[in-house]
Amino acid sequence: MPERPRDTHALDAFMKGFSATGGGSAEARVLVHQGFSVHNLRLRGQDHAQAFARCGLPAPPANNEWAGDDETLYWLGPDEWLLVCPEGMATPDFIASGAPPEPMTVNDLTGGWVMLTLSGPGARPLLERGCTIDLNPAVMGEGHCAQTLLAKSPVLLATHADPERVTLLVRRSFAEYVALWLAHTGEPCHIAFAFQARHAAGS
Amino acid sequence: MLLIECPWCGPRDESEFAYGGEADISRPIDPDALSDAEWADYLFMRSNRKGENREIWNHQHGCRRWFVVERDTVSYAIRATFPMDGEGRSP
Repeated sequence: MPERPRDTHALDAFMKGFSATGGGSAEARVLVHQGFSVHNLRLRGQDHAQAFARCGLPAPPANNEWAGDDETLYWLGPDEWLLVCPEGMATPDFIASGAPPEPMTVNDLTGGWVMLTLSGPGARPLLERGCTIDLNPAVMGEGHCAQTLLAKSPVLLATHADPERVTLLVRRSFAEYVALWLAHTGEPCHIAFAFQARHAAGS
Repeated sequence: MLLIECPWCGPRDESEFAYGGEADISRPIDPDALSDAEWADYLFMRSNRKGENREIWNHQHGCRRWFVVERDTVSYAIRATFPMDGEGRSP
């Protein structure tokens, strides 16, 4: 059996088949990120801020918020966060050594997530067609994130200072379905897809 | 469609949640001491009240936490939601 190439992406087949580029008229663009790592952090105990500081992590973001630039922490639950950083970036020592300080668990979920960034004036109206949460920038503004359903698929949505930009983290197994849904639903606004080589800062 | 207030995530659509049945049912401390009838009562029998109920719900597609919901099964009105640690019981 031939060895599987190491840099295959869950959306390779979709991207090959997706011919409409949208050109300059695209009102919504999707960047498919590559080269980032994802770790799930679960922490027992009360003093989260102190535990995070001890681990060399930025302060934990509040409920339904995310923080960071290159190294991004998303709030997932009262004792659970998602750490996303560019591949090759010096991750905190306890992740590299595989020995989280008690009582924290760290799981490398890099292979399990696909990250997309939607941008353009059509991005939020497009998501609103498949999502029940209020995506108005007054409610989902800068630094907010939410785990919810997009077209029945579980996703993590994160919004930015620029209201026309939304980051979408999707499970690998749902990625092609979500991309097909975005392509289909975004047809009227000439949605365009592109791979991005590196996980850019703050996205 | 119900709008349910998750104690951590705020108001979300019912489709994100899973219903977990009646709240405040605790596992007997010493199951061996129970008769079959008592065990069956713990396992299967629920009060199925009409009106005000305390239920547990799971925010399955959100923060994945269990919490308590006080809901009226006639009007479907949700009176309050609390975290599972039982801090809250409505006045």
